[in-house]
Amino acid sequence: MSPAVNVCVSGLVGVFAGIGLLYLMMKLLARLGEKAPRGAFSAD
Amino acid sequence: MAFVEQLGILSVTPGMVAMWAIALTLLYLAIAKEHEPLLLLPIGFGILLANLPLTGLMTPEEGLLWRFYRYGVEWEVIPPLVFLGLGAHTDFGPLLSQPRLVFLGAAAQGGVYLTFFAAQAFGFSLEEAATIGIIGGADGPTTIFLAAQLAPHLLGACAVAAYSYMALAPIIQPPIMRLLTTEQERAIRMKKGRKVTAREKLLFPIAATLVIILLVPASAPLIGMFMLGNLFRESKVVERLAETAQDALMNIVTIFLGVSVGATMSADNFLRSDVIFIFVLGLVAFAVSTACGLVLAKLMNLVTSDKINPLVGAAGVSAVPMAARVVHKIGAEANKKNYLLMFAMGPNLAGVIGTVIAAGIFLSMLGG
Repeated sequence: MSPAVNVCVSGLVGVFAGIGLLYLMMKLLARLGEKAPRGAFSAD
Repeated sequence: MAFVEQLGILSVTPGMVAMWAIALTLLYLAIAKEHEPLLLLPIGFGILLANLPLTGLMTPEEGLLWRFYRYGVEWEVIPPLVFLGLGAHTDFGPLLSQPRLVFLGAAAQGGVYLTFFAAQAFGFSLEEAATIGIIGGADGPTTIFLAAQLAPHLLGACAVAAYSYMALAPIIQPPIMRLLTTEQERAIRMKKGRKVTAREKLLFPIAATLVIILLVPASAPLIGMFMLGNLFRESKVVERLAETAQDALMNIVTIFLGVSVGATMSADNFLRSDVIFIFVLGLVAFAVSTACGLVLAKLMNLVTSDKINPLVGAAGVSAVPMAARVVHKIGAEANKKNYLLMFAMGPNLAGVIGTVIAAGIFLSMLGG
């Protein structure tokens, strides 16, 4: 695999992996948010 | 006659005059047309200063502008501080309310990699190609951050290209949007996202810092400062810091950033045939990134019943908030009841994060 192809493939995989993890994290935060008691951290 | 020898006017070269014309054009665009004036005005004036003869402003170790550049940009201080201010400005609510839209910010990095590949095929080195490709993210500070480390000689051209295309989003993006979507698709009204709690907003910057930096450590300077600024905002306990980061500090670093970038654009550095290529390839990168976001949104509609207006995919390029505004305008043209601005802000913010991750990966693979 040429260095340019290697950078492209690694980059795209890395970006989607990073964004995918961010997506999962946001879904988790949403569940935590729903379970939060009213007024948690005093700003709701 | 020593005084006569020191007259600047006798040392003016045609290249300098050409750079004055470019500087005046940028000043005109900033002042008369109000295209990205906060950046183009100091950049334009920096170019003017850097191309006046015998000033010594860019003399290594001595010149004022050289010091700005060296300690601000080359030492990676200013771009992360800009991100600190951006973080303090940013409300991640629109993204958190519709997490699926985050993928549109990833898709829009397609233009970055396609252009990287094209640029190296045209004979640019891998480091130069990465710097040119990142223009597709339409994120000025990230472009400058990457260029300063991989290809400092291209920094001025790439920064001006990135900021220019951000400013020109209302001209570049609509034809691509209309080409790749039908009137019916543009008229899709999206369902309102759920309400995001303050707890989610508070935890997001901490969790995102951990997730992204553990995956791409080289993105730490930008992501770290971005999320710190956002934590200032969302914690609601350091309002003074949040206000300083988003106003005073942001304004100060913007001045140094603009002047420093302009100062790198000496005639020797800028008046080269490959600069034309950089602007063309940068435009291609921006256009392809827009198209990739649109196409992924259309693909997502094939597998979901809760339809996405494909236009919001075009906001996956960073260009905050210009790209989101363009999406809103085109959506409203197709359906007057369409209010896409907040939906488009989600991919827009995801695009910022995606571009930083892409830059971090370039740095980890190509950086010294």
